[in-house]
Amino acid sequence: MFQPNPKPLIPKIIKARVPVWLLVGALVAQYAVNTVSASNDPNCTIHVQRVHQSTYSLEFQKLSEAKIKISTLCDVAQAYTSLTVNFEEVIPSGGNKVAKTVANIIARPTPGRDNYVLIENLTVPCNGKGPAEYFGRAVGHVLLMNGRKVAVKGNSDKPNPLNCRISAK
Amino acid sequence: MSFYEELLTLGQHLHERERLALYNFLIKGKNDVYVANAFSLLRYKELRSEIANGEILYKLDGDVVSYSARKNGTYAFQEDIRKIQLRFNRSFRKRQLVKFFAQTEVEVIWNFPLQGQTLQAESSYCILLYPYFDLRYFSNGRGRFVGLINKIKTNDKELLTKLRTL
Repeated sequence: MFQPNPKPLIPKIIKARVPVWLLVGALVAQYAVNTVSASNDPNCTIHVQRVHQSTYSLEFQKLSEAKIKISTLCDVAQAYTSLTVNFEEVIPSGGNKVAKTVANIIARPTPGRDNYVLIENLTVPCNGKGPAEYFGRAVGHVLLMNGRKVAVKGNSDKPNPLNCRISAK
Repeated sequence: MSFYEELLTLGQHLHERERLALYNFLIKGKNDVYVANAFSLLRYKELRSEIANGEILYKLDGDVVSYSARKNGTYAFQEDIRKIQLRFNRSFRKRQLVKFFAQTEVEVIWNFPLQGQTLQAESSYCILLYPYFDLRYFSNGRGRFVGLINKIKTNDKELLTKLRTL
């Protein structure tokens, strides 16, 4: 009696030579490595506050000056934050121009709070006349204690009108 | 209160022009003290000093001089805030140290001012990457030649005159 030779459901040519359990294991291991390295990537954030006029200087020193505060916060200890900061004036006809640049500032964290830097020293005199609108822009990097550099940049959320004009002089 | 005494209290309100004038004022006004300190540091490898509301610790390690600073009344120093390499002969090193001392004192005055009228918010210790004795300071890091031209254009005579007036 004739009996047909049954065809194998999976042709031999595409049968996996690597055991399935090994393949699954490798994928799981790769996923685990990716997850661990992603969680080890240091994260730093920068916060650029609005440019404002120092009321204290105006009141007590009769000094008209524009001021900006910037902070950086990392999830690991930092050696220092290095930034270049622009005070940018909004031009009424559109666009903006750099009124003042404070380049290459280096700020070190206070002992005891190694992951945080607050820059308060950025004041520029208002020698010009009339009101103006400003925003602040900062770009630079954070050097971590482990030697890695993390790039940071940010700007204040919106321009602030001041009765204080920064002169280019 | 003299203008110099007033600058010692301004801290974070001390503007760039005033800091530079202060540096030039200190270089000339405290030259004798700085020279004596330079000899001391070269000999003993360590030197302590005070200015405004800060304490400074200089260290000489081989050819590299660095400074650490802390606010008076606090325990921890900000370590190795600025370092420079000393070069050439003893006379040149001494001149380098004089400039380094003046630079350091301006930075400490900026960060740890004396108690004055001006309110000082808590802040991190800030310096500028290029010191005043580096021409790149005057060009914002765009080279020494541009820095030299900008330095020649800089005029701080008015502030220096005010500083010299007791």
